[in-house]
Amino acid sequence: MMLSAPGGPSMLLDPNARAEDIARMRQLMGLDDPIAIQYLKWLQQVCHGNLGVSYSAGRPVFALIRDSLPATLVLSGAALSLAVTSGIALGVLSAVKRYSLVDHVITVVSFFGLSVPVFWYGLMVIMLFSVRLQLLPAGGMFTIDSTFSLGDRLQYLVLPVLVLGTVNMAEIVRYTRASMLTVLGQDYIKTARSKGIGEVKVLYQHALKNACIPVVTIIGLLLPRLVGGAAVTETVFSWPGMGRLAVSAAFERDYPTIMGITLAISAMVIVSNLLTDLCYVYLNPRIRYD
Amino acid sequence: MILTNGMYRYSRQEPLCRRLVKAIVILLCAGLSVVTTWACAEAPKRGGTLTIPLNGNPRMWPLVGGLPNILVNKVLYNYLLEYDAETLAPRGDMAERWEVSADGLVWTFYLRKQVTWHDGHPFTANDVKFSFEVRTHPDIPFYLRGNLAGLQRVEVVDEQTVKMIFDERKASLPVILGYLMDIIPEHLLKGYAPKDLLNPNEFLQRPIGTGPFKFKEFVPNSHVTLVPNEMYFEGRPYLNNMVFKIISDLDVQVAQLQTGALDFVPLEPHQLQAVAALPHIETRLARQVNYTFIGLNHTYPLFQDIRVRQALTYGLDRAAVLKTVALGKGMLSVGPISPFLEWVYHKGLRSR
Repeated sequence: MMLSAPGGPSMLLDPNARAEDIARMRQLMGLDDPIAIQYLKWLQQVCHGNLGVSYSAGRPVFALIRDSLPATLVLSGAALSLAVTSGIALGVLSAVKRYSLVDHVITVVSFFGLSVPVFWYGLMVIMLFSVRLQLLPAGGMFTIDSTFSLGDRLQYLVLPVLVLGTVNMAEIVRYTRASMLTVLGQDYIKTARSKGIGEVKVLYQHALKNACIPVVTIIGLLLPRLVGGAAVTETVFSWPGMGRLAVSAAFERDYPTIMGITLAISAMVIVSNLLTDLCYVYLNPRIRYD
Repeated sequence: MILTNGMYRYSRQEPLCRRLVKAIVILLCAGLSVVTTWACAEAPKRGGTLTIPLNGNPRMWPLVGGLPNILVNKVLYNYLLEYDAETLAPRGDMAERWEVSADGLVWTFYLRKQVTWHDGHPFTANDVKFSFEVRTHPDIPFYLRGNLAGLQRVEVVDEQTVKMIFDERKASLPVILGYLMDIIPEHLLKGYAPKDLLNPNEFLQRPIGTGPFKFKEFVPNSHVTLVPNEMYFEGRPYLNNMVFKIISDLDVQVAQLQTGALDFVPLEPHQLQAVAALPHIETRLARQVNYTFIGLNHTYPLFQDIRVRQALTYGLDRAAVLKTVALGKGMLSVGPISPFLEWVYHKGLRSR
């Protein structure tokens, strides 16, 4: 798919370059081989633990991913925490207060989160909190040329986490609400209430645990999306993570980097699916893996 | 080129007038008619950091292209010749002066003395010879090699004199030498095999040039920090630091300019409105020699008929495009040579 996209590695697109020099460069980069051969060569490299060298950065792809992954994990970890905690809390509240004003407000907010384009939302957040109110930095991960300080890092983290967290929260809110409504209508909840168990205990101990199974599935699907797909948020907030690396690699037709990132994200999909399956066992004792 | 030369001159020769100008915006568009001068009411003061954006990661390696790469290279390295910021005529950079033989085939360059690389090693004619031999080496597909067509060899006369010998007259050589022909250090690069010179990884961990700023730090997708070259042959730059922040989105660049996180942003005409009303931002128009055009593929039979090309050209309301797309910030071109290139532009040319 990448090779069928128009253009080629950006370094080959200089209008001043001579055709023979471009051909020479393509030969050096192995781009004159048939696609199948290029893929097999890449696969052979990967089997030897070598993801190749980035065309645009000139560095090993493994090193690029290794350097950008921590920034992405910090951002996606914080955003996921915000999305899960607030998403489940608001989803439960929305289900319990069904058709009330609170439910309607939460529904509107969650539909906003589901439908808003992240790049626009990010820019609006920057305009409000950075440009107008001048409360938080507009982008970056830390103050350049300053010594490490947790406070400094946190203030740069707030806006991208707010954007990424609330956008992903919306999905969790909707699933939690729907799932809770289904569970709250079941007989065992009525039984629990009739036994005089407190409402908080009924909600959080009896209902939520069962309602969480579809929610955990959604979180499992969000995890690789957050790590690999935070590209827009990282671009808007100049966050030096893997999503941004993927975007710039795609623009520059940096094939080895794109392949490396795809491989890394694929690994994360497998890991998150495994974690999701393990969570099912905890949430529903009837599920057992032999 | 104007923009980069402008930044270059600004950073090494002019003070940062923070009190007067918190942020300076250069409006980029084809052929602006307003001349920018870096006049400042105050006496030059030392200090300060200039933070400017890049739209991608720089390689800091002159043998490959890309705008972010070129911008950082501008202050890390030097050329043999550069362009005068006002007239754009070639003038000496690493070469103090030059002369050409009567037959036009041999160019002799007399180099600056007492120039050192950032690592303290002396700059000599061997570096110049190496820089051009690398660019014309048959195994190195340097992307601008076509510009050096006809170069037979480079001869070192003595430590400060070098000759370039061509097999044809090359009147454009002074212009070519001021365009992305950075001089690179022979003593650090001669050990690389030709195929590795497109990506000398070890050298690029800490690139060494002769320019007004030295490499300090590069965090990919975040920033590049440069510090002044205390030994720079035109004197230490006024700035304490130069930071290139890597921000790919132009709207985010403007937002960071508004917050003061950036000092300088090149703008497109449509972005002018966003900053026009802000009191702490000053916008200035910059002369540019680039142009926007529609290229017709002459291998397509239809476009081989001059009448078709003329019909398409006459049928396009260029004035309306200039007014609505470039918001009037530019001028209609009569050819690829900008009127700002006064020393080569033919003033008698008129558009039909």
